[in-house]
Amino acid sequence: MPEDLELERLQALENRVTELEAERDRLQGELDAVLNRATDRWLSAAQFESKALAAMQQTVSWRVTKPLRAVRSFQPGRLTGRRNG
Amino acid sequence: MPSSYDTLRPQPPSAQTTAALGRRLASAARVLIDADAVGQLSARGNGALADALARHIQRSKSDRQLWLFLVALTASFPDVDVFLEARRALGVSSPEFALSAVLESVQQSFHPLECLDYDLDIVVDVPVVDVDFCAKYNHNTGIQRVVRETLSRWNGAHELVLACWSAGDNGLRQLSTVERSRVVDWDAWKQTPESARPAEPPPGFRPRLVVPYGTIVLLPEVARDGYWSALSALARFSGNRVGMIGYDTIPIASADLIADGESEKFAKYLSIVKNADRIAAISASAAGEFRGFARAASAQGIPETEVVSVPLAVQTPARGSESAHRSAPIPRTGRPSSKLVLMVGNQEARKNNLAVLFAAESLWREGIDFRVRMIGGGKSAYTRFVDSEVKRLKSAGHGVELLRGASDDVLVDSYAEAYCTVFPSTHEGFGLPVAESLAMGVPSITTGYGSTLEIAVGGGCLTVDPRDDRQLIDALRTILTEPGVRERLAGEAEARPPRDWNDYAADLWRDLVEPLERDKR
Repeated sequence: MPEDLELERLQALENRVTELEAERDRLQGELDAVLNRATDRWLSAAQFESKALAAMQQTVSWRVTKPLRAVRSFQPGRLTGRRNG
Repeated sequence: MPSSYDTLRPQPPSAQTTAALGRRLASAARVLIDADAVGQLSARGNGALADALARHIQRSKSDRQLWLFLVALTASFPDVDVFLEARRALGVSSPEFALSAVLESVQQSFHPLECLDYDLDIVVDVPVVDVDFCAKYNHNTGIQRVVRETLSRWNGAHELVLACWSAGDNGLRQLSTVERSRVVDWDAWKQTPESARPAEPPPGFRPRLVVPYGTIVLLPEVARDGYWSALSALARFSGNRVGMIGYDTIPIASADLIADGESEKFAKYLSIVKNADRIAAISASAAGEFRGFARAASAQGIPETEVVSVPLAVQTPARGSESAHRSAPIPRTGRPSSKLVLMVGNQEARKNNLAVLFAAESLWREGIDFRVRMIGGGKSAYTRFVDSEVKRLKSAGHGVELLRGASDDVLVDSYAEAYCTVFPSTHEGFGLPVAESLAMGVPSITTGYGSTLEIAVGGGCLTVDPRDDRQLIDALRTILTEPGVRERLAGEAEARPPRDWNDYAADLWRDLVEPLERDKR
């Protein structure tokens, strides 16, 4: 029967769409996982930098050399390392 | 090898930090993209949401949107370098790498991010006011008095969000209740004995970042170094309208009389001024200075900042917390019955303390009987000369009193006791001691140009050229030896039309905030 054939064809197409959608979602999930991992890594690095800097600033050597840095900040023409104004 | 030091190793971000990032990104996304899509994107994770935002901003090419995205991502107000780096990175990356371009540019900023656990409130409809110094410190001289007198009056009368800078100076944050009291309820705060003041920060205080977006940002203080680049970026890129109180340009225009390092810091502060939309200067004279700078900056193709003049109040200083307790006695020299010549203000070269001491000595040598009291502190680079002169004059038997760190009560009592005040500053933004003296009916000898002349034309003053010691001697002699002159000036001071802090606060709102509200982008 032509109608049965048509129904079968439609069913097959629907199945294919479902498969493709699932594949798309899987790939989107993989992409999201990559993006989420990258964001987590960045967050981890940003947090680590702040903690490492804070830890370094708590050391005795950092604290005893504070006056030297204060003097240095008054040196005329000292480079600040800034790139843009 | 024995391990002597704890080694820090990168750890995955805590659940708290990750969740806070998600909430910040979602808050920004609700403003930047279709709010209905935010829930779905959030469910896919922080990376997916950040990626959608980065791609959206890459398409929109909107500076203000990029500024908000960077704030949400880093829990930090970007400085100019970071912003430009991120904008350029977005400009050359393909859409699939838009997020990584932004993350990399932020990573290269080397700016410690100390607020990654913070949530944020995006403020779009009311002015945000940066009151950092007044919120955190009990110091209360010139600028702090202007800020507290103004904000205590605006509070309740207008909708405002007060903010100060967060840990690591990363961005503006909410105030604690204590910090708020220090700004809007100073009179009550200073009456509270130190032992009765609550702990800071209050237990459990978890501030949220305050992020102005498409609204007005007011800077009534002189932002300290460390904030200037983030505030410049805010003024340039965030789409907010920025209004400031302009006090003076003394560190640049009188750099020859300023302590080392101050001029360079102020020059950086001017980078906010040139990007601001509107300045309300505290006198016509100060307005002229800021207008001149705005014109100079317009050579860089920057729209010229609008400058108006809103003169400060001329009001009696308030008493302090000691009223309830006992003030320390004022150390007195000279005959107590002799006339008191009072000089109030920081001791520094431009205030001319040494010229006043010279004029006083000249008149003492003429046989005129009076005492001099100087109230105010300063940096040792100058105060050591004052100290040395005072010591010499005292040992010669002259009446000179030098009060450093004097309380508000001592200040008020000194004005009340004074025969006249003297304030021959070579450069002022306003001249608060002259205004206070006149508000208390005490005549003043002051500078005959600039902002102090603006005050003096209202009556009660003798004016001099502060660079001419002879004029100062003559004016002081006149007021001390001609009772009719002193009486006339005191009468003029009493008859001056009052201008109090209510007037100033109302005028400042009308001339600074309302025009910014009309021009909101």
